[in-house]
Amino acid sequence: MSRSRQPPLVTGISPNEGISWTKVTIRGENLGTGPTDLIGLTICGHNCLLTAEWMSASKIVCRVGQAKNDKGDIIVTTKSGGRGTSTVSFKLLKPEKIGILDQSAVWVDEMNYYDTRTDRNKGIPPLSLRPANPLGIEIDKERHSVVLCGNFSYNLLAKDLEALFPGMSADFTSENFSAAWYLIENHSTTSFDQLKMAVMNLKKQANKKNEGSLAYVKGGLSTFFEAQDALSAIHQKLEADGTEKVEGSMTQKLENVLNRASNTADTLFQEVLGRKDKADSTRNALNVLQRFKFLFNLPLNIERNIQKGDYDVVINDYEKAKSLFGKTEVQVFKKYYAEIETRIEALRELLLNKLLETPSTLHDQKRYIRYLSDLHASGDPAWQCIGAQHKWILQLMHNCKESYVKDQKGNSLLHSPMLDLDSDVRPSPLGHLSQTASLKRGSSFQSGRDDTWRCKAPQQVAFVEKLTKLVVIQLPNFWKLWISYVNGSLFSEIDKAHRNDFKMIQEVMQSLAKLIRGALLPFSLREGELRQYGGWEMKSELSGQWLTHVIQTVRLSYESLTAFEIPNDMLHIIQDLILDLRVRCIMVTLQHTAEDVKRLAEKEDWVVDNEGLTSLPSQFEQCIVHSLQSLKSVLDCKPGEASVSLVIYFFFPCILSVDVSSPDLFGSIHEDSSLSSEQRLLIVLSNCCYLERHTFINIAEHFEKHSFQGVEKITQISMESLKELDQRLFEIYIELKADPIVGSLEPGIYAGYFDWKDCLVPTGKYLFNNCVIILTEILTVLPKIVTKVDAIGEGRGGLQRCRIVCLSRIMGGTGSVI
Amino acid sequence: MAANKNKNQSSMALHKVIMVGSGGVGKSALTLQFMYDEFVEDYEPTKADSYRKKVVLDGDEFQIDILDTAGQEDYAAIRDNYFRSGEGFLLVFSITEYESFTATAELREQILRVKAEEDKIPLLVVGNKSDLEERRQVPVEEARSKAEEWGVQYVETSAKTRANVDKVFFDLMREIRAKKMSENKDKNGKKSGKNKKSFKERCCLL
Ligand SMILES: Nc1nc2c(ncn2[C@@H]2O[C@H](COP(=O)(O)OP(=O)(O)O)[C@@H](O)[C@H]2O)c(=O)[nH]1
Ligand SMILES: [Mg+2]
Repeated sequence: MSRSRQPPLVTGISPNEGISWTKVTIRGENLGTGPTDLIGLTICGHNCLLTAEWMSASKIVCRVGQAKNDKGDIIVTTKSGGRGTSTVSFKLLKPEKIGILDQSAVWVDEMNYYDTRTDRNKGIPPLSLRPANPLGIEIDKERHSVVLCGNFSYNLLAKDLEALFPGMSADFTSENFSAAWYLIENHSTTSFDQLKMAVMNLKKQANKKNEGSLAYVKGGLSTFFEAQDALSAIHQKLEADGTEKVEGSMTQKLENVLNRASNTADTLFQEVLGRKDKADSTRNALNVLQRFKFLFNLPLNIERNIQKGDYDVVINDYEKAKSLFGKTEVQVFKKYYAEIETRIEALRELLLNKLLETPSTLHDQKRYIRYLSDLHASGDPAWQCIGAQHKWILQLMHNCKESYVKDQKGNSLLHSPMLDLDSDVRPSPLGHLSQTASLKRGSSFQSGRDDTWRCKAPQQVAFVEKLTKLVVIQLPNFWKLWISYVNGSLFSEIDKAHRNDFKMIQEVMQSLAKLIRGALLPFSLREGELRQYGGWEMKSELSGQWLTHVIQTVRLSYESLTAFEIPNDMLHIIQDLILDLRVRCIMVTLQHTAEDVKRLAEKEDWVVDNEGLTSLPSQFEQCIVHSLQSLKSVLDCKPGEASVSLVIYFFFPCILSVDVSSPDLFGSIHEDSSLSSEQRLLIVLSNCCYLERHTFINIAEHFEKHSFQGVEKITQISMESLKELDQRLFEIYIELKADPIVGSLEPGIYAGYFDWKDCLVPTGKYLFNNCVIILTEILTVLPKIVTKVDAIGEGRGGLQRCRIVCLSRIMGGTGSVI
Repeated sequence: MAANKNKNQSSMALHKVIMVGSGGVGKSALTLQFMYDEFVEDYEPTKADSYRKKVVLDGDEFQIDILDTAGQEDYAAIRDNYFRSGEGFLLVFSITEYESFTATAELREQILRVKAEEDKIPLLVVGNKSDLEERRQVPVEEARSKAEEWGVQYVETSAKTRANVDKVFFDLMREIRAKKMSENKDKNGKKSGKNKKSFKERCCLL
């Protein structure tokens, strides 16, 4: 009895520190005789009785409440022992958390925030801890050993029990709990007295439920009284309302009151909740901003990178944004994405403008095309670029022409351009060489050319130089771009229609050819074309030298174009042009030669060398050889060029015919000459003879040296016309000489009625004298022609023949006389 | 009367004992057996438990304060704090787990480090779970020689059978008491003279 009066003493606590709601095990002495004996438990001054579970007189389990003191005693109060003491203390740790409604100056990460209030529901309330031993008496040691000692006996027992109580269980929490089974299993060796005690315990526990609640009510009696008062007040109010006969049900009123209470509560917390909402939304916004920083910064970044020219970065960012937000449903993102789209659209435009900008390099063009295709620009930027380049080149060519035409007109007012220039103004072969070299280096045509030449060069020639240079510089880029487009290395979709579309290149070629034609061969263009490509003042023709030079230029540019693997059918246009130019050049040169030859006659000085020749034949030869030499480069066939030697066939005879007809004029022109016309005729005859025997053979050799075929034909034709001339001249001479003799014989001849026997024999001496005079004249002027006179004298017919016969008879007569 | 007794209790000499050892060797089991004659079958890892009760040692009443610590405490720094407050240590290992035996060396070193200013620290090496002889991994000789090397006592206990449980606690308390007494002597040697003097002076004044 005295022992029960001993006050409780707590000697152990596990754990000795922790936060609120920590489950603790309290150990000690005299902690109560049973659950009902325990009437008070405070840890750090906080009542924990509600969660306390009495286990034994030395052990209680409970949870620490929200205590005020940091460190404090564990005080157990029992009915039997009163208020106790403790030798150990519990230290309450502050949870390092900020309440949901606490104001805080610092940002609180609420991701891992748990409301401490909800913690309560997480742990199992100690009240539900079920006692291991409901009867409160010792459980069989035997059973224990049975379980431990061997499965055999235990299993046997379990099986027997299962057979005894089918569908039942020894688990007292089960619905099919069988008390008999439980007793057999756990208390088979317990004495009857013990079992009696167990009954007592059970009864006590049954009572305890009431006692327990009673005990609890005692603890918080005032609260219960307050609750009781409140309830009765509500009851009275309800009664009163009921008697007032309010419309609707009584609960209507109650509902109103509750609603009002709720509203009041709402208004009370509105500020705090509003603040929380605001904080939440701010946090959300910040989160969104943080997470989608990329998107929100993108428009600015795009702008910046565009300014820096980092288009690759922009494209990357745009791709990323597109994949992330392209199909977003979120309004804010949509807005930003739209902003990005507009900026990208602007960039596309910018890039397209840059792409179509001229002049530009192939590298830049390719770059911009890649950017545009990366940005999924609509249309076909590569093709657009090709088109723009094409237009630009054409424009450049036309502008070039226009400026030269204008220059020409300006110049013609100041000083007439010297179109006919002699070989002294021609660029030296060395100049040509350096030109070729510089062309291959792709630099200016005119480099290494002195300015005097440039001034002297006619506008057309300068224009062709400039134009070909322009094309040679620009076309390769354009061609490469086109090739890249066709073989798909421009990152853009290839329009199949464009694949075999050489039109643009062709057009450039054509306009190049037509512009040159307009300047040099205007007659080869049609009316409409002439208006577009021509416009030059055609005061005088270009000389052959200039044409040769132009041909050189065009040939060089043709060569450089072939180096770029431009298809042949496109270069045919240029080929045709070159051919036409060459033909033209030959014609012009030959015409000039013809004129030169014609003019040779004026240079005749009638000085006869010891062979009976004047300088004319050699001058003629020189003239022909010179023109042949100047045509050499034109006549030479570059690979792929058509032979133009045929042209020669048609034009040389003309020259020669001009040549042979020219001496005809001598007589009339050189009246005042000291020589008589008969003497001159003899000299010309001598010259003709020389022409036939030497000059033509020399010329033929020259032709062969320049490897012309069909020289025989030319020679043949020339010979024929020469012979014709020779004969004509001889006849004139014979007539001139024979006339006086025949005149003196004629009366006799007519007198004899053409019967030689009856004729009067002229006085021999006179005749003889005359003949001798003629012969000496011939011999003095041209000693070699004598035989020819005889030879030619043979085959004559008609009257002339008669005369010659007379003459020969006369001569024979005179001979015999002598 | 009760109050009086309480006062006596609080004024009683207090020996602070700390249970040290790896997790699962039986520190809590030993403590609870000593405190409440109870053996806990199930293993519940400890954080830090406090126990304090009155004991009669060789006729004198003392209070023993036992701090049962977590063996698996990761933070040496926290253990430092525990150790500082201790006056005597039970360095426990399980004879069935060799690793727990090797762990004792490091733990001892930590104690010595924390208590560096004290010359001899009351400490017992305890080989627990002696009832599980058939599962022994740590030979008695090895443990004993190790303890001798350290100059401390080695005792084998069983928290289950209570063998040697009281002995380890009482032996440790005796060591603590002996140490305290020797320390007090040193102090009292100087203090007593002083006290006497002042007492005399007061008498004179009176
Ligand atoms: N057989 C046997 N088991 C023991 C002994 N001491 C402790 N145990 C068991 O070992 C486990 C761990 O014991 P515990 O005291 O919690 O170890 P602590 O981590 O050092 O406190 C528990 O299951 C105990 O029942 C003993 O001496 N003999
Ligand atoms: Mg433990």
